[in-house]
Amino acid sequence: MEPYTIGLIGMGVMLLLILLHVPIGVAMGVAGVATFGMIRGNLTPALTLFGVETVSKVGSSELAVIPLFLLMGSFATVGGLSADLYRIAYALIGHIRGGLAVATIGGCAGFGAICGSSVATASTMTRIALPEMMKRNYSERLATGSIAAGGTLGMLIPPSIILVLYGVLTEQFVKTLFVAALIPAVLAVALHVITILILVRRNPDLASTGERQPWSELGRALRSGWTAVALMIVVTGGIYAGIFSVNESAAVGAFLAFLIALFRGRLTLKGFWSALQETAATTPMIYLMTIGASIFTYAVTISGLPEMLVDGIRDTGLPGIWVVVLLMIMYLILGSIFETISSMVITIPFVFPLILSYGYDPIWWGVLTVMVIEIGMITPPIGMNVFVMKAMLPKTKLSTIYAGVAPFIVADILRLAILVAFPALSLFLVNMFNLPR
Amino acid sequence: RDLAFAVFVPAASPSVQSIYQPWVDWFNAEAAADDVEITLYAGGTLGRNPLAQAQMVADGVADLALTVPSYTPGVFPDFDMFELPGFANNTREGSLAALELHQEGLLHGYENYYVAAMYTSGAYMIHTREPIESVSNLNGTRLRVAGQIQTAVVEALGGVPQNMSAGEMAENIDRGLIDGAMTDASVARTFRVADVAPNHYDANLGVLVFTIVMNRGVYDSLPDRVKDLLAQSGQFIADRQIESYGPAIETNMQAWEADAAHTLVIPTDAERAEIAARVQPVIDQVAAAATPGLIEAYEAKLEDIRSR
Amino acid sequence: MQRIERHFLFLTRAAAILGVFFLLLVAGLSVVDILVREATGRPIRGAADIASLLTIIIIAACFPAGLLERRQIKVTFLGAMMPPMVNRALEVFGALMTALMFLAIAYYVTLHAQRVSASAEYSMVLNMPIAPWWWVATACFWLCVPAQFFVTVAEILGHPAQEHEA
Ligand code: NA
Ligand code: NA
Repeated sequence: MEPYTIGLIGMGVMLLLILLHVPIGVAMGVAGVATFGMIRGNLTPALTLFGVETVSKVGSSELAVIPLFLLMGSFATVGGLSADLYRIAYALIGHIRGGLAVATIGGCAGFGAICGSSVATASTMTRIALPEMMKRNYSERLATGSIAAGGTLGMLIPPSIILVLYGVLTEQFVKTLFVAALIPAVLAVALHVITILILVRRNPDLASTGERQPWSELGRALRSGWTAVALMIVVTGGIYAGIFSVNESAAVGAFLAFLIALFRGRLTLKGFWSALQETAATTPMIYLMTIGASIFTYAVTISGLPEMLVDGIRDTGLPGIWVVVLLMIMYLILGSIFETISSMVITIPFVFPLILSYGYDPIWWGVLTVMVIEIGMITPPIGMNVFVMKAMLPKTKLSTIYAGVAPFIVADILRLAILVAFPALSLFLVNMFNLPR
Repeated sequence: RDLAFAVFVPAASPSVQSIYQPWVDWFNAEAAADDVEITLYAGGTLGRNPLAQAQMVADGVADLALTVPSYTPGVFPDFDMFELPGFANNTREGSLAALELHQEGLLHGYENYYVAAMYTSGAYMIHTREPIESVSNLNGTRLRVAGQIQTAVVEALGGVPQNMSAGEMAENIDRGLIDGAMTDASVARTFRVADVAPNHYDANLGVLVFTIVMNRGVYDSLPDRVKDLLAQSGQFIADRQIESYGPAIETNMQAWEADAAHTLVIPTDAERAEIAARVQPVIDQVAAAATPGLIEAYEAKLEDIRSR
Repeated sequence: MQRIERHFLFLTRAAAILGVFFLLLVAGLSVVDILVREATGRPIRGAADIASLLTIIIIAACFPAGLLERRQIKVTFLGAMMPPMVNRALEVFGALMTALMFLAIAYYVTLHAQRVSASAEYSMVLNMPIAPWWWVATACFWLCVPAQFFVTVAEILGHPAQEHEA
């Protein structure tokens, strides 16, 4: 049998295993080893990949930023930092119609700068922002929709765990990716805010206006929440200003978040344990996926399938921009059925060589991939952010949340189109700072 | 028979373009009659971890791989001497010495492999933001290093060694996190170190060894004519390296010398003696761990190469 | 059975929490390193060495509890459409495949630890042997095997995942 035939069968086996409830990392690892062994005609060397890749990933200093960012997020949650950021945003813009929803986006963006995960951002803002909005007669749709959509900012705004994974799997500099994601993330926030303003303008019943907060309230909010803002500035500013490496920023962030939670008296022993445990439980999940994905990459490489795919698509004479558009549509579909990180790790072995063969910038592509995959967090049938919120809000209908996020999905797709059309939005800062590529 | 050759450096890098790919093309043309073919997998598509490459060949994941002995400190003690200051002056001396010492069976550590090629980088220099006029200026200077011997050498010279990836060097020098880096003149240019650290101290501080290793069992199973091709490969690759890498380094050095924004300091003999005295403990340590008499053989080999 | 699982969960969680506690120490070490670097111009000698060696055991220590918590990312819609017995069979299958993969991982990580012991590999700056760290990691991965077999048995018996309590 030709290597590519075995490769295709291996792909099928991997997807079948995933369908049969095998964890995605395990499915990729097992199918990858079997495929590699079949192509090389000997299973013994293939089995050693379980060791090679586990050792490489466990010993990797690049991947080690993931548990650190997770730890920072856990302590930030325990320490109530998200509430502070929300309160500041609220004091600034809470009084306009729909202002609470806008403040939610602002709070999500701020928390996104100290937390790498979408689900964590959505769930923590559900606890903080939702009761406020419900109290002030916001429609449940707008309230839940803005939180679910705002939650995706957690993944988009650096630090972003999925950008770290993209960097590790494609050998791009994580820091460069973080800088490239900055302007697109600002664009995301702006478009979400505009969406809310349009929604409440067209239907004023969706939200109430609040009373203008006195400036003293902003002062109070800042006094009690300055540590959260400071953490945000130290972590992201430290990376952008070149004071820290990404690893150092993650370490400083985790340790500062711990100190803040501690000195605020929020850190009970129980909270401390649960923060540690949350990190301990999520870390192996992500590592197992990376190990499986790396093993599967060996099988894909040796099968010659990526070259075939690249040649096949190039032979059709399809212009590069159409390839990009088709890939975006593929990711939107994948993102709606697969868990986010998985749809990226499964496709990278094929998609990355294709994109490089068309001469596209791998940094630009990384930002696009994360953006399009992040949309999958809020699209039906499987939208992780929506699921998590539903789990926290037993009385809310799933359909209400999905209806609420629909306008934001439109805004997200518009943003995607803008980023495809203007690569400079992603690459401008990277070029300006002359960052390593 | 298809042999998988894993290379962890990017496909676009000069060594893939001007050394590995030409070698694979030459080999495949010559070995076509015996139905043996090498497929090059560059950019880490067959294993990204540079430290795991040799083990992957031993395990049979790949048939051939590019490896760097100094990436795994302590595993290849015979290769530490190449990174010592005051020995090989350039790519040619380093590459020929490494290859010939290996061919003479003097270098140990790769017994479980067939070594298809062995060659070196150019001589390490120190590139800094502030000029280094003499070795005493190195005191407290934070320098990016790669590996254990570079670390020990920089410490012996009074500097502060810092580990980081090659891609981060230039940025960290630019931001003032470190004062400079220890690399050869080609790496300094490729990774844009020279743009931010325009002062170059060319004190002949050692070379980095690369090897291309093949799985022993695979080698034994090949027809004699292919084995013969592999026997020629070491020289083929070393020659390509000397022809492409050596002149690239010369060009860079001449450009720096001509450019008013750069300084190029070549230490005096007294200065070199000072460096030699400072690194003597490192040399003793390396000599103690290496096969007895190896360093003397290395020195004799360098004399021989210089006299050709 | 459930009692044993609870004890086991306690043990592995303790390992994981200890691991993350070390992670917090690494973060603290990094902060001290940056402060010292800013104050004196010299970083702490070998801080990076220690951080990278600690990372190995930090990550490995998280695995056994991670498996027992059964929080792997998987797609379960097929089982949701099928009768409960089929769903349970699928869960058992998934758990068993995971157990087999970790058996292989534990075995090959052991070989790696043996190799770094035999070859006397050292860290870059402090010249510390790296083998002991890999042996600790190896122990963690061996702990994964019974942990995942426990999960498999629990799936056979139809026990749901234990609720997390800190
Ligand atoms: Na984030
Ligand atoms: Na989705």
